[in-house]
Amino acid sequence: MRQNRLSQRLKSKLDSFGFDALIKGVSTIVEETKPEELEALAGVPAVKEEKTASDFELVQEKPGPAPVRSSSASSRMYEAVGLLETIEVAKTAGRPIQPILSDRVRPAVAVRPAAPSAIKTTTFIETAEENPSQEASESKAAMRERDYESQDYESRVSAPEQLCRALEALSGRLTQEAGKMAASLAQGDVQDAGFYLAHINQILELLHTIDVRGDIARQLDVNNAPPPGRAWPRTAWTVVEFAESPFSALLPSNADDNLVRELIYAAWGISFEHK
Amino acid sequence: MKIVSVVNQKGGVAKTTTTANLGASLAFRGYRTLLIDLDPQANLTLGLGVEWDQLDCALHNVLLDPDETPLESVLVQIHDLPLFLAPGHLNLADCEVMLMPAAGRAYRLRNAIESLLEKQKFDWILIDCPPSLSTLTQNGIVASSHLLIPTEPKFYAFAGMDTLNRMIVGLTKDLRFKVELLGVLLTMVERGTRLHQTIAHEIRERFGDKVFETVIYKNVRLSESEVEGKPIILFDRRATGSQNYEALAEEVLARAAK
Repeated sequence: MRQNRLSQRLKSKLDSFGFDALIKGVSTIVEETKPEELEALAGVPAVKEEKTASDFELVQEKPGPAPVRSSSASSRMYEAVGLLETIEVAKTAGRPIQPILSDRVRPAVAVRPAAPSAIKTTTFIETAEENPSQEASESKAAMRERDYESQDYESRVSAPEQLCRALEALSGRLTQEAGKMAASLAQGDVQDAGFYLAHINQILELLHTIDVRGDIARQLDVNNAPPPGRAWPRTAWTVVEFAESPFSALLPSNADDNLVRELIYAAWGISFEHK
Repeated sequence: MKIVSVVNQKGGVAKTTTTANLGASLAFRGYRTLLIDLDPQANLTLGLGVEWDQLDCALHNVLLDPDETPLESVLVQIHDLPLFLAPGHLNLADCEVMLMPAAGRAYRLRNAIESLLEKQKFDWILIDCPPSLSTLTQNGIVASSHLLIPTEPKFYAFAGMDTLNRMIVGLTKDLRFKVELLGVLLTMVERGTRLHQTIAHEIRERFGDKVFETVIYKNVRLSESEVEGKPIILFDRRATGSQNYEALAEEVLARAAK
């Protein structure tokens, strides 16, 4: 009697678990499994989402793996905007740079739909993960790193040409996005400006991943490298951060708190209503 | 040749014990077997009598710089059996962090094994994965052809397997690999415990013939053999634990032959 009760309780609890991928096995070598099928295998019902980053025309990618990053504001924006893989570094640099965060997650926050200028390019994940052996040898220098400070820099500088191209591409894109944000702000289109601010933040996070102090960019004489003694600007995901950021200089002269808040919210993909 | 990750996100389910003793039982039958200790706790290494802190290099060196430290350079033979160990090390924990920004990081172990197999032949490779959904575990899974999931007949075991299931589905979205379940192994089973019987029954109902017939019963001799730094088959072949793992080896060989 007691065993039956136990068994029934167990069964009811187990219904929320999924083991299909384990039981059936998985293969991504011969053919790609569709995301919907994967969701079914995981036992996770597909969530109906609003327009998300994956709806961007410029994002040509598969959904990513389970989140690994922290739940900080900036990391959530990584998840939301998905710009990591859309920047043209891979194409411009000829091959992917090493220290790119390749963990991708399905966008968690709804963001605005497609930007007009769709960029179709090979994603970092595709390039990096689909050619592991090539990447393994290419990333040897990066693998020698023992920490993210001194030795890290030495090893990265050991591939100067590749780094230089990557940094050039990122800083160039940063300037472009800043210009677009300034133009949008000048036209009073805060939603658009927020969209570009999200891009700026994404690029800055990438730059910080490679060259947090800006030393490498200066050493390699990269265009738009931060001046001596200065690092790449910090990201601006909050009103306070934006106020401290050099990008706040792009605000129109009549900008008030509400506009900044709206801008930040727009970067987050959240519409802001004035009260 | 089969590469089997012994994996379960839940800790304390006898992953390491299973890797060591299944590997030893296979080696005892003449199969050239390699054990890979991917767990930063390096318990497999310790349990086989190898002092990881005395080693010049270990698995973390292989993962960080396979050109400088190829896998074959760290192998240690265990007790004159055709049993080899790629020892783990506490530094594997650092390795986890250092691999984070690296492209192709999930393929490190697979590449190292492929290079090794160009020079040496192994019949079985067993990978002892850490009890986490980490980059190291990803390396283990991506390098494997099969998974072996030891699990204690407790409710949390299901949650652990559900998480593992989700992790594998997640990996399929970005990584290229193929893996199938060799089997679910019930471990640390206590005879006559109603709860264990109920849960074991439920596991068999859910996983069907994927669950090994062989069950590993709780046996103190298994723990004692770890203290001695020997697989149970060399420590006390008559012990229940030894007989269980020998039966498992036979079952594994039979499954592999199918």
